[in-house]
Amino acid sequence: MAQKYTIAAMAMELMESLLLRKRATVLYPVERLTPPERFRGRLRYDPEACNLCGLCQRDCPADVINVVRKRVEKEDGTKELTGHLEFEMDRCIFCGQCSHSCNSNAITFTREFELAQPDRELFMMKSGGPEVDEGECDADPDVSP
Amino acid sequence: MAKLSFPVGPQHPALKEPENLRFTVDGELVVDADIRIGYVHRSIERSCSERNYVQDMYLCERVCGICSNAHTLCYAMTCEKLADIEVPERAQYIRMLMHEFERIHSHLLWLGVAGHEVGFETLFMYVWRDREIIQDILEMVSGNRGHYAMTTLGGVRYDITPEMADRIREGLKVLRQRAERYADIATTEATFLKRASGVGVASGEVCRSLGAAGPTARGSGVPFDIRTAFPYLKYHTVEWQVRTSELCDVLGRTLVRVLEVIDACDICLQALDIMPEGDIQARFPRKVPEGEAIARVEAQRGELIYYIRSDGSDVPARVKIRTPTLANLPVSLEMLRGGQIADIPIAFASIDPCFSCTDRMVVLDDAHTGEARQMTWPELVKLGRQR
Amino acid sequence: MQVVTPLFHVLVFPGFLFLVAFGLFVSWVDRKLIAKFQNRVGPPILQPFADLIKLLAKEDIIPEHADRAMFAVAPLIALAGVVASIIYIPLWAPVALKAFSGDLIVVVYLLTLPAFALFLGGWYSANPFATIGATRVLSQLFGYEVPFFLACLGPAIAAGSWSISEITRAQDNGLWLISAAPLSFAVAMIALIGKLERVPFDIPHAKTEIVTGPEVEYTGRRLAVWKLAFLSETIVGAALIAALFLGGPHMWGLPYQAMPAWLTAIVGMVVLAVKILLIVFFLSLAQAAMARIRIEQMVQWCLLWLGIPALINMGVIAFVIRQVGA
Repeated sequence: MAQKYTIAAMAMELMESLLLRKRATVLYPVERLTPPERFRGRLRYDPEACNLCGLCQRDCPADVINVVRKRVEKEDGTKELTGHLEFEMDRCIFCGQCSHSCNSNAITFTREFELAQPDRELFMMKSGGPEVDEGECDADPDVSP
Repeated sequence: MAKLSFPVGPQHPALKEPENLRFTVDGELVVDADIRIGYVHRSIERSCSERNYVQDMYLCERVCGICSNAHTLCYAMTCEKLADIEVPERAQYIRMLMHEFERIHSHLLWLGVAGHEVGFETLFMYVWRDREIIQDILEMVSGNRGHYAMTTLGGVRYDITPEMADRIREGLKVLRQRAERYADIATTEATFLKRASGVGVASGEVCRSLGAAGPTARGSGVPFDIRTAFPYLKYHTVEWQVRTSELCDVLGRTLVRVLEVIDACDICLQALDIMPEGDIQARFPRKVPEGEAIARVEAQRGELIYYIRSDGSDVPARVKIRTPTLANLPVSLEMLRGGQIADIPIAFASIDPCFSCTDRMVVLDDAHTGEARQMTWPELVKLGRQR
Repeated sequence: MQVVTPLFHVLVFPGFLFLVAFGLFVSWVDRKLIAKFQNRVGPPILQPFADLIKLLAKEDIIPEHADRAMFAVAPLIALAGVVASIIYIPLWAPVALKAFSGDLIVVVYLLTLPAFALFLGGWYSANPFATIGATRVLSQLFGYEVPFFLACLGPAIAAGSWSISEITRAQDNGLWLISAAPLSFAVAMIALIGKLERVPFDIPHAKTEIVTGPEVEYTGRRLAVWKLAFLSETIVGAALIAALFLGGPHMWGLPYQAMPAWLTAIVGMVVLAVKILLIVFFLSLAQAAMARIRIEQMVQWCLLWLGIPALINMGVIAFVIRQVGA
């Protein structure tokens, strides 16, 4: 009799799904779920906060980050260290180690997750320094110039 | 009918990863089975000696997509042994929670796949629907549904806030009920029983002699679990038991896994209550002192072992990984022999195989003499990037 | 007209085109129902049609070592058998397009043609999976065919005729033969699952075991023909069961006397369509509720739990008729 019971129970559960339950899936482009707070989406780099220590470059497992350091002579004749980071985002595995290693909170991750691009070049985040043309940063509007 | 030989894989609907099984059948009866691995070799162990300790963490995480947290946990434990670092209490509890979350998600994933292998699509859909609960929890805690990057050298990356703890409790309670329902289905649903009971039999003795690990061994009544045999993290502070089954077949392994899901829910609920406040990460040095260490954890599929040798620099000299699937492959062939063709997918799936964890590579200089040749790192890189 | 009318019947209505159109719709209902059972969204209504177009547009490949003629002709045999059998099934009135005494046997045998064609197509595909699948088709045939035939005999004996039209007409008084042959009805429904090779009896296809079995080498047009043959078989099988056990196009409480002939025909069609959909609902429920069993379990179970009840029901009917007649 146990056998009959389970077929009946299964049928009950199926009918419950048919009649009462809301579907489990989401019709994606129309309905969107919000990722949780800790989600690691698009990378955001703040060159103002960055102190060019290079820890992120050293720890990045995917070799995404390149530190560009420059010595700029100021008007009063002293030299100052400036520079920025370049990201080859097509390699990024979104582990978040750079943001974890960063002491000055210059790298954070946003919750934006639709990051597909038609061209590999568009993944290059080479903007960030004053010497770089702003036109190159269309890959990532989040990077402040 | 004459004996027929046919391949399963490298591409086959029953296999989720590429691997080649070759069967000799007589009618519907499997006379012989053989396996050939090596299709997804990625030379991860060798690559580990090219990167520093922090980078290796993420490389090891990618040994497997399902048990990624077990890999980082085991890797971090080995490194911490080498560097002689004490992990804060709270971090250990969070690591244990993640470890058990991952066990829940992996076992549910397996149960769904088992349903799929025997043509029980509804079981597959329902289990995966309910698995979303644990996936949401994992995403909330770590920020990602897979490759959580939760473990870090010396502790964990993120803390669990009180609000999160409440939501986890809520989710786990629902999940526990559902898991009990699936335990019912597995033990009483007539067609599933027909496919699971008495299929893929491997006795406890066979499991012991061929070195099976994890639920595969426990489903044959071998009460071996690293969590109790070589305690790590905080498993001694919560109440739970090692689940075994004397059935020795697919049904036994299914039951062990479903019961472990229920246990994991209980472990997590207890851990959330007794977790102390405090730091979640200890400082970890860049350069690790010279020496060697080994750590083992009970991953979902069985015993996972990491061995690391350090030469005092910030790059490990050698990383050796022993994944549970490799331990379970010999006994899986034993399960297949003498069975039926129809039972191949479910019997093979019952060890929860993960091939990309397992793959090993030997380069033969000469196929006749079988002499092995060593490949250099540049050669491997070249081979890996070839298209 | 002598040539055109039969051609119309075979190719358009109630033959090929009608079967395909209705079959695609029923297949959508089936897929949607299973999706709902499984808490999913399910395909849009034109999806089966789009799938068919896609298959028709694809490259057609015949394996090098396959028997070209048998490989090519097998799916056509299957489709032809099914399309031919609909001629003898009452669709809008208790009388079918063509009827003669004994057409029940013809239809039952025409409906086994797809299984034989599947066996031949698989066997001559020169592929180990197809070969195993082909042998499973035949093994499974032994499991469901005998009970199915015995179950069909129940209403035949009760109505005292071997003609489907006669059997349907006998139910026109409102006394559906399911009341006389409930066991036979249950057996026929379960055997139909085996005939259509659906879960839990989709053993010859078993995609996780033998990768769709006999159909594994078929692509493009030929695969489309296989799909059409099985869609049509679903309709014909369900219509046959409806005609034998559920009164065919008949429904209680409808004022048939007050309706003109054309209205009766339309109402009859709708009633039958609803009955077919109900049978498909049962098929979907069974598919969603169970796992696939093994071939030897299937044959054993079917002969025991389908064959014997069908025989008992048949015996009881024959005994009662003998008593009443005497």
